[in-house]
Amino acid sequence: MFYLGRFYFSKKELFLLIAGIALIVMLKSGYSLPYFKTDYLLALTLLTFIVKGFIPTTHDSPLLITFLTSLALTIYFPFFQIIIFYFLSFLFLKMFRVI
Amino acid sequence: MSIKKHHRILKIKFFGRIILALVLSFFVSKFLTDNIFLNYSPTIRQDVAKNIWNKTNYLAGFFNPDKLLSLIPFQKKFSSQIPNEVKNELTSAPKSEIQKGIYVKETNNIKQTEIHYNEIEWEEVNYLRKSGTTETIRIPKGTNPPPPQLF
Repeated sequence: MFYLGRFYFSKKELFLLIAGIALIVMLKSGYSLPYFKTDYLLALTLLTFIVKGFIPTTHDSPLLITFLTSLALTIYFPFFQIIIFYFLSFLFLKMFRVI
Repeated sequence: MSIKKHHRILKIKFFGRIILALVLSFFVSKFLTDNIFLNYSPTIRQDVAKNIWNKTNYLAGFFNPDKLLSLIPFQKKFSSQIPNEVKNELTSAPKSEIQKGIYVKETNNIKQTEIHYNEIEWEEVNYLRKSGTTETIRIPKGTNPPPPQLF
């Protein structure tokens, strides 16, 4: 899609970047989505950004599925459990040779 | 096998493994937050080994024949053990109300308690659970709620 210096950004990464910026704006303005906590969403988005730097683009689907599942789980479960779920899912994805 | 079919099988296997990984990690995270970490924080419980040992014993207890027998509802076991004469004696005994909705029948050496849930006046109170969440529970009016963070 576009280059930033040496780095190439795909459509998914661009949207994730926009979502991250939008979440920072929401956090600053005090607005939040119904049922979701903005700081939780921002933390998960940042974690996804970090993980994305470590895995190749061909393994985008498992990463995004994990990300979306974690987002959905924040409605029902405490954030600490979601963080553990998020890291464990990468461990299991690696164990099952998905990523 | 056609290439299309082969691709489909590969795709099912791929997403199946993703779903399996997510389900497994959910249950492991649930186990960790319930048994290893304290109150959904990074603090590790002091009694980790004891807690897991107790839970293992509890689960193992279900395979014990005595424990399995005790799972049969109390009422059924109770009624099967009462001789007919005592039953007749209890039916003719006068019923006294000790609290709204709770009745006691008494003969020479037998007591029977009847609880009529629909007659009890309930009161809604906020209760702080062990996990740190607050829930609204119903208790009989005039009684004290259980101590906070017990359940």
